[in-house]
Amino acid sequence: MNAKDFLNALNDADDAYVWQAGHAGKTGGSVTARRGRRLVLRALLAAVIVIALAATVYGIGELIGIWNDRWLQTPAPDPEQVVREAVSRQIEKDYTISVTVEEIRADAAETRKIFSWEPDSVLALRSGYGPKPAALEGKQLAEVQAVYARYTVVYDHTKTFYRDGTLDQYFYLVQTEDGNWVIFDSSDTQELPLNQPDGGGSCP
Amino acid sequence: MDDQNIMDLYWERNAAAIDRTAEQYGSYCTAIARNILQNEEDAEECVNDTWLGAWNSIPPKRPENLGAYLGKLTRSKAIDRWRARHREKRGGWTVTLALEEIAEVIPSNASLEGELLKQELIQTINRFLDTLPETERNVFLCRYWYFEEITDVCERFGFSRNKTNLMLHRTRNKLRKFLKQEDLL
Repeated sequence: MNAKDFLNALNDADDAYVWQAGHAGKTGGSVTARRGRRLVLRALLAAVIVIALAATVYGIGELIGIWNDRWLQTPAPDPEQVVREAVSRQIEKDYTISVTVEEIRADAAETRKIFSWEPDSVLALRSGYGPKPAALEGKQLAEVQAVYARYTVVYDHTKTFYRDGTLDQYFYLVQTEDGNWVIFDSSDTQELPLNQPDGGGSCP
Repeated sequence: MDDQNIMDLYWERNAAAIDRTAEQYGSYCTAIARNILQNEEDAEECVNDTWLGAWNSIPPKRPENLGAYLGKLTRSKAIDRWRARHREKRGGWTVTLALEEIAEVIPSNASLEGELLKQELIQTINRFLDTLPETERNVFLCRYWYFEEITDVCERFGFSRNKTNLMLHRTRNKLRKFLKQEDLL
């Protein structure tokens, strides 16, 4: 072990100690302020720019419906149950008029693909085959699950521009240390015409 | 907005999570990055990396102390940047000084290898911190976790420079003794 190892390992010191030290002392955080209010103001300005950019991106995303992965979920031991509930709970959103779950099933092939981060997995294609999601780092195959869902949803288009109808979608889950599964991402939806749930649509 | 609400936003994959995080912890994380990098532009970039790191790791993570979690992310990313800059021989002398101070009690050049040993070291460090009186522990962490300059540590705690240096010197000696007891030196 050397000094660098020590300083690296110190990063994982107990949260309570780290937090306490950062806010300790007679003057608390004002040391920074006294060292240069101008620097702090610049940091705040940068934060405001980040917020403004994020808000703009979010607003655009809201309009075109790319934030369709905002799921109200409850971690549970059954991944299919987590997805079923997340889809069903769309009804709790004020822009949802109705939602009916048609089919929920675990998909072993897509699971293997995202675990191995193969270019033809739905998630990899959507991300432009970018880096493997951080949520999958350190996970075993048994701790990863892709779940296919088909559901019919009707949204109030005075409140949202999300695509509705009968939709196919993949949900991606990982198992946490307590044994429960959580959704960490979902694919884009593929629309099928309403009233024709078997009208040629297939998994994305 | 409290930590729990911010965490819920992350778990809903709501981009507003980043805004709320920046509002709540922007200055805290920026101070950490600034201490290490000594460069405002690098510090801002580092903090933006922290927000991205949080977005990519929550979920599946659900840190109990969001502030400390973000602080650790920032420290780790800032040290990575510091190393990259250090290779280019520019800036970041606060970390160099801190490393030299720690090297007084941990003189080995051999690098620690293996995740198990690292985990053991982390546990040992936490046990060591448990043994320290509160003020001494805070001073030690302000210097070696937050990489604050000695003058800032003095100012924060209202101590003279001599008192601060002496306290840090004694704590480092305690550290050496503790690590020897634990067979890590």
